[in-house]
Amino acid sequence: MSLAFQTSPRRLPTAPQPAIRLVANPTINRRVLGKATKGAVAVIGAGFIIVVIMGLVLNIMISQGVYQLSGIKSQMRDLTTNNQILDEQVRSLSSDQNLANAASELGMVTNANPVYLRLADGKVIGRPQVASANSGVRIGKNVVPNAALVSVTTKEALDAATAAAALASEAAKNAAAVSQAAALHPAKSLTTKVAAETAQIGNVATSKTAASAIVLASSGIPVSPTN
Amino acid sequence: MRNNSPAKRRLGRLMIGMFLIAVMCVGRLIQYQVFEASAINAVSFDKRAVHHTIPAVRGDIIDANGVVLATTVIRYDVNAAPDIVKPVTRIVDGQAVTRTPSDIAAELSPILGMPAADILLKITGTSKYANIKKKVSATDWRLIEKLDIPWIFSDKVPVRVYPNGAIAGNLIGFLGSDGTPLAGLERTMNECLAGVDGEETYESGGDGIKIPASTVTTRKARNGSTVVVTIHNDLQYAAQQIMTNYVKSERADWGSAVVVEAKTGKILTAAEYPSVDPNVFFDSDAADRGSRIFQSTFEPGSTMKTMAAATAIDVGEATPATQVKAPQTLHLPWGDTISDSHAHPTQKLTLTGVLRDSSNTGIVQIVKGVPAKTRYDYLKKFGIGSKTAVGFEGESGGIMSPPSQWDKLTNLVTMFGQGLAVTPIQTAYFYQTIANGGTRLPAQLVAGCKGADGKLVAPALPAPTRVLSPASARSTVDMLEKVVEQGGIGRTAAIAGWRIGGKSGTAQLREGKGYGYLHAISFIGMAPAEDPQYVLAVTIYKPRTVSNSIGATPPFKEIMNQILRTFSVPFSQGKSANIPTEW
Repeated sequence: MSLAFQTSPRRLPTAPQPAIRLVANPTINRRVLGKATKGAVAVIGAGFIIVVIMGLVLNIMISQGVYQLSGIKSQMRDLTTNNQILDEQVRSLSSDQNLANAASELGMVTNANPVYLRLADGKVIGRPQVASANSGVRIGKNVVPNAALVSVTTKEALDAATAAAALASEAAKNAAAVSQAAALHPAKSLTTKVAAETAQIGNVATSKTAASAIVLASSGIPVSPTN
Repeated sequence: MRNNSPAKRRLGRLMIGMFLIAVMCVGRLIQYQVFEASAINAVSFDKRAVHHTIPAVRGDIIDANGVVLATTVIRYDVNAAPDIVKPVTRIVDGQAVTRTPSDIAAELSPILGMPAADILLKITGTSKYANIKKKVSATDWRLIEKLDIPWIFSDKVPVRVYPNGAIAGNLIGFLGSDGTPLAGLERTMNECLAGVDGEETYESGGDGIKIPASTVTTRKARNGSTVVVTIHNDLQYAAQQIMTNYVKSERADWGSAVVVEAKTGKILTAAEYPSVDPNVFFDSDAADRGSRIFQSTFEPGSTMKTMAAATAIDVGEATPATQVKAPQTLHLPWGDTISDSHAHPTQKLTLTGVLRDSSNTGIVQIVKGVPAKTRYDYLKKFGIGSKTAVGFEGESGGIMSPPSQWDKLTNLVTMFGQGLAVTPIQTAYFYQTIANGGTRLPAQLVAGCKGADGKLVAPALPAPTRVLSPASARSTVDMLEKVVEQGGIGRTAAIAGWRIGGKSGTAQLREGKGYGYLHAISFIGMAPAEDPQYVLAVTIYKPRTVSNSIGATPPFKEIMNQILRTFSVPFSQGKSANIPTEW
């Protein structure tokens, strides 16, 4: 008999019995033990199967995750490309060259002789002079080349902006001082300027506060008639 | 019976057979897994492994306010595989439509901006690869992708873009088509801008998707850092607009305008014309691709009288009120003559008056008492003969021979800017010294290198140079203010509302052995004179419609106006110092 057999649990029922013992049915005992064994085997087997299935599921999930990740990454690439396209458009539209061209398209001319009104004593500083497209080299049109312009302000956009400005021109008279003050800071963007004017027009009541705030920063408001 | 059962026998044979098969399987397994494992692995790895360079993105160049002056974008090289070119079938409104390759070429033509015939030529053939067009924009590539042509594909290529074109183009420089930095800050700041490419090797399945958890090696790409310049984009633009217009209208060779912040030494603007648009640098003449502001030298002329006068005051040889009789022509004992550029009777001028009228005969009489060696040392301290701290590529330090080599005439003419040569950037710092209480600050074009952590690492700058005493510098500013207040040319640089100090220069240019008929004209000044904040140096080289500095004050005034508005400089207080100009 092998040692394995000797130590096998099956041998337990044949172990020496106490002299006095409770009535115990060895067959029942064997059946219980058999059941336990079967149960243990079933549990281990089921556990094993579950682990295998879990492993499979996990594997599938990881694979799916990888595909999902790849999908998201490609979506990210798309969005990055979108971002790049929009960035380039914004940079083009906000470049000084595009703004200068748009301004000159609107008939605006750089005035080399700004005139200021000093609020402290109401003194006009400088001599107002008409700036015209023919006045020497005071040309507003852009002369600094830029081959990177991918989008430029179109005539349609300018016309739309002009129409919006015309609509508000009545109210603008009241806010003239304000817009003049805004012009003191060379408007970074045409649209910004139009928006700023519209905002100021829309809120004439607060325009005085706005004006004084700008004056504090620049200590003067240009009164040039040719702005 | 037991051993002879046919069923048992069959079973036994089957068992033996299965055992043999199992042995063979195990044997094969051992052969593959143990003996040939490494060889097979290597072969299969090469088939599955994807080597992938992760390109590092080159850093941007931004101005003082964060405006992007140089950046990197992705462009697409559009390629075809001619060997698999065939008609494309698309579903349009539920109907299958077949497009022939020539139809496709016609569809691509407007997107790529090239004739359909050319495209057709490129996609015809048996090769596996044919480039149709290089560096197509993302917008255009999107349009091509939508056409869903299976035999058209693309390679992404990083391309350098300068969104503001020629604004500061001469300073920024450019890259060659292969990405090699060729000029300007792109080249000198390459260490900051360039990144380090990363590398990734992983295994992928047949569909090109990475096999999970199979990454073998990864080295992350380290992107380049951002270079922050001291340039103010909008002011630079205004100055370039103005200089372009004046150089053209005066039919000059070139012109430049440099704006320096007096108390920091920062270059806010270095505008010049002709300029280069780095996007298309190859369209510019090779001579226009660098920066004349740093590379070109010229005899500065009368703007140097300011330095001579400041030196005389600083050594105690003169005061702003020192008196002199200035004739039209000064006859020197050894036979040479020195004349003023404009005809006038002998005038009784002070040193201030000498600057106001830019009198050559006046300045030499007042300053000749200062030894040549002393004046040479002062000029050295003002910066002549040494490159600025910017260290621009190909920068010149100007030319000045030592006083031992000066003859009697050179000794005198150096007082009014002849016999020595300077760069436009140097002239700006002569006046920065005056504006900053006598201390010359190192010229600064790069504010720093900004890494991913957002920290700005400022470049190491040399120590400031004390040239004049604060009192001497103040006296010099006072004199310069009188020039703009009263001078015939100076007055044309005046701006209502602000006190301005400045000096004109009309320098003859050497032509062969003597001087030619063309000049280099300049006006260098500062505002506000009571406490100078900004220095502006305008130079126009060889104008043909004007022959003196009256051609340099209009751009000076326009740019100075722009400076005052851009930086919201408050109106000047007080009046100029009470110094006599005549007696």
